[in-house]
Amino acid sequence: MSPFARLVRRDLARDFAHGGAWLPLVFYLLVATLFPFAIGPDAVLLAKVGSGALWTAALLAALLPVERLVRPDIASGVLDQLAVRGHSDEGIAAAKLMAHWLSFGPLLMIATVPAAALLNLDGVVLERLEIGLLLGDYPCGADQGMPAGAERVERHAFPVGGGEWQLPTYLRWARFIQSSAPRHRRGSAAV
Amino acid sequence: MTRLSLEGIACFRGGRLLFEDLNLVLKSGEGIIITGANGVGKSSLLRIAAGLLAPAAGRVVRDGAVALAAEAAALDEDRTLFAALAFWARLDGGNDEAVAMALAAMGLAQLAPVPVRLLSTGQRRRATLARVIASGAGIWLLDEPANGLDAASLNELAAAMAGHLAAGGVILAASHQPLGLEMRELGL
Repeated sequence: MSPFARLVRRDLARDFAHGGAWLPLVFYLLVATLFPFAIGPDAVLLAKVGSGALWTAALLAALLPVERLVRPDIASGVLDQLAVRGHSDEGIAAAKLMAHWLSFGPLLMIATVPAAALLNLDGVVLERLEIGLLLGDYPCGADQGMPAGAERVERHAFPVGGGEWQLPTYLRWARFIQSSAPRHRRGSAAV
Repeated sequence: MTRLSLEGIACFRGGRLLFEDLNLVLKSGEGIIITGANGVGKSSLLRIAAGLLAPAAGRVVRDGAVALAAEAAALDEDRTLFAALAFWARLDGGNDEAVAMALAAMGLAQLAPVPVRLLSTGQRRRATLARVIASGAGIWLLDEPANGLDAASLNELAAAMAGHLAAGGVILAASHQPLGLEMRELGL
């Protein structure tokens, strides 16, 4: 097994051992369950705003474990040990991002199927949403880990966060998701 | 051949010059203990030797793999001691046998299935040293290796260090207490 795969596997195992990896899934399903109750039993309205709500929930869910992405490994000396062994900061960051995405991406994609049913989303919207989660959440997750690769000399000053850096990326994906909402298709049908 | 040399090293931390023009050459089978009061820069010197900290001046040449035992154990708390050590041993190209031998060398064989979070201060210290032993690296950098160790563990540490030097390794240790081993001392 390559060192990269070992790092990914170790991070994944740690995420699930702590139980922290289930948090995004729970959060996501909670939003999907509560949202229809908060909006009210209007199927048309739900179908209109549901995809946006789910996508935003997925994005926010992905941010939940971010605090634990790098900080514990600085405190426990793991990053120092990896550096002593000649692993580059970029390589470590890439492994952490991969593990981060694997910890929430596939779970959220599966959870999107029941979530879409709860929000009365049709197949086309569901498909868009899944593509958005598959391709869009990786850069979103990557953004969270980016600062981890930035700090090189004094490792104890690793910053974490900085989601605002990638606001343009988030907005692009938000528009992609929103472009599949029923409003547009009804509009074109009327013309 | 394993070799560690520090040439004209200066260390500047928090706006203070800790030491400068430090020269040190360790060849196969040589070890040295850095002594000095708290805060004189012993740990910083080890971090510089490990390549974790850039010196303000001078250069470090390392011929051989490096294993560092710093203050932090770098062992995953939720895993068993064996699994936590095996993670590093496998990254270093070693196998379970290397881990078992390192555990035995530090008298930790019985604790192999115990989660790291349950270890005491002294056991944790010995586990950190076991990680260094299992690494198979030629250059050992030990920061206060004797901290929290009882008399029996100190003997195990001395035996492990002597064995490493006899096998052609290099040791740079920082300690404020004797390590029970005839080694050169360098006061910072």
